[in-house]
Amino acid sequence: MKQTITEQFDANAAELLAQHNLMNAVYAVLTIIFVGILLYLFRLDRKISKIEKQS
Amino acid sequence: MNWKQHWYKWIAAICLFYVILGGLFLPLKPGISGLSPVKITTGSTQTLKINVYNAPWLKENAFGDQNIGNGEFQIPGKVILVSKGIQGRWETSKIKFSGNHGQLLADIDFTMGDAKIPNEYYSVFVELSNGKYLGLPDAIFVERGLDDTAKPSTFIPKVNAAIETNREIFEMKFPNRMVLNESVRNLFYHVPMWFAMLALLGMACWYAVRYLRFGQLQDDVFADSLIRVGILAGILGCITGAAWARVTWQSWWPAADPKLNGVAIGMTMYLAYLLLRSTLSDPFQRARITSVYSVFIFPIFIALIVIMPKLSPNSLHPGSGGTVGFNKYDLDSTMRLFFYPAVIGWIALFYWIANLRYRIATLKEKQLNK
Repeated sequence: MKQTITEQFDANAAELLAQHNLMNAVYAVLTIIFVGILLYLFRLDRKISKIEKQS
Repeated sequence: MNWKQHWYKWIAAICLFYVILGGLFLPLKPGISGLSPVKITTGSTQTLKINVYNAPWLKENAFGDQNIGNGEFQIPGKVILVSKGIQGRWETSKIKFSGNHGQLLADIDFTMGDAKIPNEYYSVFVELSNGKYLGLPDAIFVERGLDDTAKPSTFIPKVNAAIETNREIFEMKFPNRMVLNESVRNLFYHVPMWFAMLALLGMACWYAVRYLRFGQLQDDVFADSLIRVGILAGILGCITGAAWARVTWQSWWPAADPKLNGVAIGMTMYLAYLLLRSTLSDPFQRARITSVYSVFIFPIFIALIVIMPKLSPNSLHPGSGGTVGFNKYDLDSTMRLFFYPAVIGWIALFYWIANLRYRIATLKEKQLNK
């Protein structure tokens, strides 16, 4: 990996910098966690609704 | 408000607010993000291009506030290539700052001459006159050129401790690590998923033992809720880990990693728990059998995801191959300030969710008994 990144170095420094910025991975991870937790909460919500309907 | 009942919810809210805000907005320490060329053949003077990351003071330090525009400008400082094997270095004080690319350009005279210097990797450091420095370990390979015999050697031998590669200056910034770069922040979001999973499954094991000891059905229901939410944390850990691995290890699922294989087997065991539970209808029989099963698989799960990767020499995860995961080289002091609250906050949040699920399950049970 070290090789490929530095080989492209001369070609386009700006492009490399954008590729090297891994902030998107952090946003992706946070999004996955929140979507996952929200989906689970919606499931719980449905369960409560079911119980409410029966009582 | 009843604090005894709600304290961990407030801890979850405060910790996670702090961790997400700090984890997203605190900057990275300055560092070298790239180098060209990565391989040098000695015998002549060559120009190293060094790409710097998060170092706005580089320009200010050299030129003040003035707008320097495009072109190349001399700046005070040194570029040093430190040998890993033998003690010695190449160095130069001919550094230029390139206005158009924000790069550093260093002219280094590489001559081995008749000195006995092996071909090997060198770490690159930029030391500026104001004491600030940037570094990149094992960044460049220097090998002897075929016609490198005539001139005297420019290699400076035996200057050990001239540069401290682990110089600690406390700054409220995250460390700039090769490969990880900005994604080092994922330590506060991906890793605590596994801590939360382990904490919840551990608690589930405890409540399963309690059920087997005292025979109270609500202990079993609580253990079941903890396991289900623990599996949710584990699945989130897997997916976030895959997203992170894609950009750092260049693969969604590096199958050679013992930690990943251990997790795959361990998660299957807990999915089997769900299956087992769904096949039994009598609540007491179900509670007894699944409690025994979950007490039985928890130690195996720990062995698979904590102990086995530690024994293996080739895991990509930190803390493997006989090392400790949280020593001073792996986790710096700023990271700790956020990592520990992150672990506490995420565990509290998942415990909260498990508690909600437990209360819903109890309500349902009451309704069925009516």
